Amino acid sequence: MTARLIALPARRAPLIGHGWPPAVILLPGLLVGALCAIPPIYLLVRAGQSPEAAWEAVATSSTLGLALRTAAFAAGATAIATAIALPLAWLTTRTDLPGRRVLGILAALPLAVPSYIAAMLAVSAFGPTGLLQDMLAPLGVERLPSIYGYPGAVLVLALFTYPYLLLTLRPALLGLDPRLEETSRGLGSGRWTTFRRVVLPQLRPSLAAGGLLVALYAISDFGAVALLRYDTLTRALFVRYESGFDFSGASALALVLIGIAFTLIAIELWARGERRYHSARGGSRPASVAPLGRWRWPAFGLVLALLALALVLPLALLGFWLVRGLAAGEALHGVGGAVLDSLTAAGLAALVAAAAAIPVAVLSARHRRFALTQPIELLSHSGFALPGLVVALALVFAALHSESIAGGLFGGWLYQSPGLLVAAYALLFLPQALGATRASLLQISPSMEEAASGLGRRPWQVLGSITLPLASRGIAVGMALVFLTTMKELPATLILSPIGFQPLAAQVWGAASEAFFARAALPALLLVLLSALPLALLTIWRRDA
Amino acid sequence: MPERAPTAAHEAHAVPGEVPGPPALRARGLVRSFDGARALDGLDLDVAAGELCVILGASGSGKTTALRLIAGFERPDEGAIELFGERVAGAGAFVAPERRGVGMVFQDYALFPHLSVEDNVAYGLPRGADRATRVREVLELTGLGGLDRRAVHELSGGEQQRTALARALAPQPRLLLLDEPFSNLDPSLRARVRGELREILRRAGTTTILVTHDQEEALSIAGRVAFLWEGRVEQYGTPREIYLEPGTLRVAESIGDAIVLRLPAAGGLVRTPFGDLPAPPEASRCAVVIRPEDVLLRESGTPAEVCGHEFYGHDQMLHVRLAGGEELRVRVGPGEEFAGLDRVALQLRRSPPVFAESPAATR
Repeated sequence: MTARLIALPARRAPLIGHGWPPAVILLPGLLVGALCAIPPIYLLVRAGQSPEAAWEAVATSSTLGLALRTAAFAAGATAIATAIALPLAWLTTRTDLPGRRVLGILAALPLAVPSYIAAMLAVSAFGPTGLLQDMLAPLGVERLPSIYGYPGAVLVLALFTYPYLLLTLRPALLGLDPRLEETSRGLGSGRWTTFRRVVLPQLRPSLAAGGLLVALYAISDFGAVALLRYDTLTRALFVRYESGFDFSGASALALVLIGIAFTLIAIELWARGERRYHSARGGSRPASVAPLGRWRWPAFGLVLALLALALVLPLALLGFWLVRGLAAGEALHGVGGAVLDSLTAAGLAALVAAAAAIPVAVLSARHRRFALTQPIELLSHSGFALPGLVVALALVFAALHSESIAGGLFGGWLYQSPGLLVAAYALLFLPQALGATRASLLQISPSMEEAASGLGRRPWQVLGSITLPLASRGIAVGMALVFLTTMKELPATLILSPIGFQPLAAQVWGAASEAFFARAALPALLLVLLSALPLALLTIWRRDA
Repeated sequence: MPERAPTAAHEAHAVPGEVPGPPALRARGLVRSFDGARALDGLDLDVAAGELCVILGASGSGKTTALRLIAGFERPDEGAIELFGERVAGAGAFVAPERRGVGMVFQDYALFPHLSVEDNVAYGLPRGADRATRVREVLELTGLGGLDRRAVHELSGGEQQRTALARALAPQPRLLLLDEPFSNLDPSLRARVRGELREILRRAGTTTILVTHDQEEALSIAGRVAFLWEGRVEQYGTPREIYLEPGTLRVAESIGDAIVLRLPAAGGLVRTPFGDLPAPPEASRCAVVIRPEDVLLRESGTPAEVCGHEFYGHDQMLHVRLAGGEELRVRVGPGEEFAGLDRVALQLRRSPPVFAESPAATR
């Protein structure tokens, strides 16, 4: 721009005059924002209604201890996941590791194993009465090191959440401009120095983003910490909820948990540093491949060992328990219904989240200057920061509360209704649908839509005939992500499932929490396989793109 | 849909003032700022029905913003726009782009990648029996017959451009806007495509505004050229007027090859190496603009020393220095031989434009 910069009085762009978004975008966007605001606002209101009780719940030494244990859990899991994912991402993208492409895809699959199934399998295999103990007992091994507590919980969680980091690191590594590394080498830096001073700083945003996903997963995890007996805020919150409706206390604990989540997001923003974009796109050669030399096969062995631990062993254990259960005459009935319930809930959640994501994504990608865009976007991301348990509790409280106010009007349909469960899923996983939809919208040149409206089409016609067809892949990716995460989701499922509605996750949990591993095996296996399906689709789509 | 203006009977691009009825475009005092930077700063522009108007300006001069305001993709901060006498923006009025009947061809063409050539062209047409006929008509007009089933990514650059043009022309817009239509084309293709475009537009008879930064393009295709500078129209006239009678020093310097001699003036006269020329009466300093093709080599005239020369094939350029130290360029035909020549005599073909210059404005 050579345009003159005249020192004009900074005139704020008026709301009207620089274009309101069309009603077909604005109204649904406002609705989504308002619905997403319900849980956080409700919790604040509840905790504020009896501040004494809330303060009492928060300001005890036990709450402080819980908060610290939760933070330690998140930190440990993130550190270990990074230690696994960073070398793995580098090995599968930038070295001559045998079969690195296939290994890269396989290494993402442990994401299909929910942490509570992983924890259940860990207990069944390595617990005090587990398989390993049984095998080793004749050899005189009286007692294995305990699987319970911090080390076990952190290890299990890291082993099944590192793919979040892997999935963000791999594209970043592949997209690095090789010229930067070559320049560094040319300036006399060795391979390791180059990695540390040139590659690692460029990976900072991806490390921060992936690390945040792992940390948020850790603080909101309920199943693994419960089975592996490590007390975190989420577990305490669940216990408090089960032991009676202490609204104010639970709301206050939930707010502490939200506080930790926001701290993590702040840390991510800080760790990401200023946003860096890859230096070149066009003309950039694919990243160079480093020969591993004599480390090639040992590295291959290490990756295989990891896959054996995170992928083969869980599947084998599930198979083992399934066979043992069948042999013992474990009844299989009820599993078909659970599959149907799971597919219905996950499918509906995917549809609702995708539909809710569209107006918000259009606002974010096309109407950045509109005053309400950022608040709506922020609220739509609340599911990212709010643990599933917190959202579920807030919705339960809000539903009961609204019914106590409205009385017979609602006839009690809200609480214990499938709608509330789907709403919770959609709210929790809206950010995933939003990210994918927005990314694909940003790839569509706005001049396409302008061309369409210049040709006489109304905004809703442009949306239907141009924007949505062109963004369809992003929308589909978003739906697959929501489907996958909904299948695995546990705390909200446990709290909000109506009576008689028992998806796979709830069935697994019901059996696993009573240590009926054989009974949990079939629904767990089905759950993993059904989750792996969209995951595999996603990896393939991502490779095509 | 607003009523379309009659598009017949504009065989040639009309000369302003001869066409009865309201002008196709009447823009007054358009202002548009982005983050405090004024892209448009009081733009006035009139385009007569049937005319081909080219907005010429450097990047950042506001020309694309002007186009987007006319199309309705942006709203003016100040000022008003009328299309065929109908107020479409300004003073509280705003007509949405889909209701303006204005066709636009984008710089990147913005072809819909999920639709075929045929479906792209049909996009702006109402459903009905006439639709297929009109699509065929426009494809024929733009020389795309036979490519109708192609996916847009299978087209060459020139074909993509014509598809975008066909799509914009199909609904018979009363005004057609072209944003840098040749910038995405291979330079070797441009001259040919330019000729094709002018022919298509002449036959369609649509009032057209084209935006470009390329002066050769502007001068060769336009009925009238609006030279844009910092968000305002610096001069508006036929290509001939813009080039031969520049209204300001900036226009003279910006368009075409020019040497500017800055010379003292007094009493309404400026003393130049080629004799005294009339100057604005108040001016104490003047800028005299001399184009290389206006300098002639003659037997007698102003003496000059030859400093160097470049041979281009279609012509050659002689670099000379005058007695006062002023350097000039002289364009001569390819046949002349300059080896060994060190002194020449110069005359001017015509009286050069003279502009008053305040002493502080010396660059």
